[in-house]
This record gives sequence, C-alpha cells and structure tokens, in this order.
Amino acid sequence: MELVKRAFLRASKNHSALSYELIDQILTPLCELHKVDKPSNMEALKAFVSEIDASIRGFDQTLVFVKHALKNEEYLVYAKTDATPDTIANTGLVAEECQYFAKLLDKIAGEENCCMAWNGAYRDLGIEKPLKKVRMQELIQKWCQMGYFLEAEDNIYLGPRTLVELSFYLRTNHAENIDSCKLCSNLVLWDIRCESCDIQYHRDCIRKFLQKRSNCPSCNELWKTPLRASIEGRRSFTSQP
Amino acid sequence: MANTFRASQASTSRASQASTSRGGNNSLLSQSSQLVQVTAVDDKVRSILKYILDHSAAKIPMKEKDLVPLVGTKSDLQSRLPLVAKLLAKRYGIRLHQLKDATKMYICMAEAPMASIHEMTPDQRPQLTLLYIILMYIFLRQMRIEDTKLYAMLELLGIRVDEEHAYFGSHLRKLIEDTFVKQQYVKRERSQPEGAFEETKTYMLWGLRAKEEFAYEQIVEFSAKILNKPPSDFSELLEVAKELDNQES
Repeated sequence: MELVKRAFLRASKNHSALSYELIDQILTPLCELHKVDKPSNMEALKAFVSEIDASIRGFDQTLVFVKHALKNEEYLVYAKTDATPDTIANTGLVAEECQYFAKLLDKIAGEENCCMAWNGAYRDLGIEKPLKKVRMQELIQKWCQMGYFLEAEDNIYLGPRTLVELSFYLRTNHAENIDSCKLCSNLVLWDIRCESCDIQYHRDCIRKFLQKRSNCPSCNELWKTPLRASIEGRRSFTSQP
Repeated sequence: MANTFRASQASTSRASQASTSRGGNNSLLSQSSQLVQVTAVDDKVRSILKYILDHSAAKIPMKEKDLVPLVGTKSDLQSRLPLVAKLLAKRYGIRLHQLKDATKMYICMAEAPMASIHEMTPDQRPQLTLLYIILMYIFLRQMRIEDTKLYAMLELLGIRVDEEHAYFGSHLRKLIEDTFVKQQYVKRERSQPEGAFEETKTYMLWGLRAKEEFAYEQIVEFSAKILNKPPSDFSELLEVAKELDNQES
C-alpha cells in the first residue's frame, strides 16, 4: 500500500487539483497493478488521503479536500502551506509572468464576488512589461488546470488550490470581500448567507449547526435562508459583464 | 494509444532496475562519505527538499550551484543530500539521482512507472508519446541521427515540427530542440565538417535522463505496439535492446 500512496501522491502533485472522477481514474489501475484493495468508500478515501497528508506536512506541503461552492464540487488539492502569490508560480516563469499571476489574483479577489469576466484577464493590469495575449491565454489555461483559477460561464473565479494555498493571504489582503466561515474557520466564498445579517457560511457547516439550533450563529435571528442550492442563488454570484 | 502506453509502462523501467542493481543513491552517499552526514531534519534539510519538490516537475536538472545558496556552503549541502534523498524516496517515491558524466547535476525520477495515462495531465500525454517516437527512431538508427532526417521521419507520420498538429500541439521544434534537450531526454551534437565545403550537421542522440528512465527494450515494445505489429517481428531488435540494457546496467 505504501507504493500506492507514494504513486498517488506523485500523481496528485502533478495534477495539483483533482476531481473525484480523476481520483478514481488514477487509483483504480494503481491498486490493480500493486494488487491492493482500493479505498472502498468516501470515508476510506479520506482516511487514505489523510495519512498521505500527515507524511508531508512537515515539509510545508499538504494534500487536502476542499469544497468549491460555485459548482458545489469537492476537489483534492496538493498545495504548499507557506506559499505567497510571489512564490507560487515562479518556477519556470519570468518575472513579468509571476507579476501577472499576482495582479490577476488581486484583481479577482478584489471584485465583489471574487469573480471577473474572462476578457478582464487580458486588460492592462499594471504590469511593467505587458505580456502578449497568446502567452496570457496559455498561462490562464495552465493556472486553471492547476486549480489556481476556475473558468465558468465566461468568468474567472478563484480556484480550489488558491482557496487552500492562499487562504491567509486572501483573508489578510482582501478582508473586505473574503472572510472565513465562523463555524469551521476555513475560507468561504459563493455560499449561503443569513438573510438578516448577510454573514456567509458554508452550506454544510450551517446545515450541521441548524440540526440543533434555529438561529444564525452571528446575529442570533431566526435562520430563514433555504439551505437547498438553487440555480437563481448561484446566478447571483456571477459578475455583471 | 492508452493500451500502447500501459503495455510500454508495464515493463520494468531502467530507473527501477537501476535502483536495485546500482543501489539507487550510492553516488550521493560516496561523495558525502568524508563529511559528517546530517541525520536529523533541520531547516536546511527542509529548504533543500522544498526546492527540489518545486523544481522536480519541470524535469530540468538541478545544479549544485543553485542548491548551495539555500543552505550556505557546499559541505552544508553535501552533508544533507543523503537525508534529503532518503526523505524524498520514503515519502514521495522520488529518486534523487546525480547524472553520470555531468558535473554535480541532479534529476528526480519516480521509483516506479506510471500505472495509467491518467497520472499525467492532458498536456503531458502527447508530449510523452512524441518523445517515445523520437527515442524509438534514434534507437533504430543506432543511437545517432541527423536532425533533418529525424524531422523527415516525423513528417512521414504527419508531424511537421514548424506547424501545429491536431494531437501533438504547436511549437514542436521548440519542444524537441529546447525542452527535451534541457530535460536531458534528448542530446544534440554538432559534427565538425571534414572538408571546407561541408556543412555542420546536428545529430540527435538519447539524453542522460532518457538512458536512466527508459530501457531500450521498453522502447522497442512501444514501437511494436504503435506500428501494430507483434513483438516477434522485432525479435532481432529486442535482442539488441536486451543486450544493450544488460551492458549498461
């Protein structure tokens, strides 16, 4: 099983952000090759990942699941725990490209719903030596593949890896838009809000809280926001063109 | 293409054979034998390890002169490299290997071949396939071929290195002459012209990384699959490949 864990870790680091479908596509042949049983359910998979995570935490690396509320999907993310926007993308990139990443991140995080129309990524972001549009497109595609950003409905959002790796940076530098869920202390974006005080929570966190209570944990008013995700609710998170 | 990949990757790679026969990281241990080796994980060990993890994905060899500033002195580095190598192997299954015939350059290789193409990103899969084709052709031409002839062979397969290909993508000349060379998969050599009117020729050979990561037998088996022929059609080539693999290991 140790061979499988190490191979899965290498594959996760290579992909950087993995859907459940990709996890299964990687694990199934890997377990068959090494003749071990694949984690049979979600709990077993999470325990498997948790063991790997524990073995790499000492090197400021992590392998964790994160929920991305935009599409209500969970991703497995390989991230560094000591990253900053300047150090993130700097392997193999020139200074202007690193700068582009940092500027793009700040621009998206600074928008009200942490979302930017895709063509905004090609506008002048104040980089000293602007990049060619073709190169910008290549970089955005690469960073989306790595999970730093996420493209949906002609907009660019912060991606699952950013939510894990740059959580502290985002909360510190964009406190006006980005906050932590009061119930679990992780970043919360594009998720459910209290109708009375507008404080945002993770849907799963507030659902669990409301199993025993009926009021908002922040303002103590009766919780009225429906917990079921609706298409209308999700549309309100997209930016205006 | 997926079945071809699985068949070629299922055979034991030279890397995993080498780790048994050559004792893996002996080169790192012998160089550090005169130094007192660091056995506890300190901040310097972490710095080296994190640098290697950050840079291993690009597959470009890491130079000692780039690693030394992380820790201070050469002896600080060399005394810690065996421990770093051990941690990389134990936690990630990554072998830290000093390149033969290269002055203090290190590469990372996986302890075992991939079990499926899904371990690669969608961008990486066509690149590996193209690399296999190139390494196969260089092998078939007795390990050295003029670049013009290699590109002519690729053109026969519908791959034009100065044009975009539907599967392999664009900038293929740069991928072959720059990326694969930097990654040490392919080596380029210039020949000295013998006469006043002879042009300089450029030859393509297997690079140091290709020799470490792939077995010749693996490449021949891949060739059989991609050409949709039974391996028995390549029996002579397989014998040559096995002989070369045995000599080099």
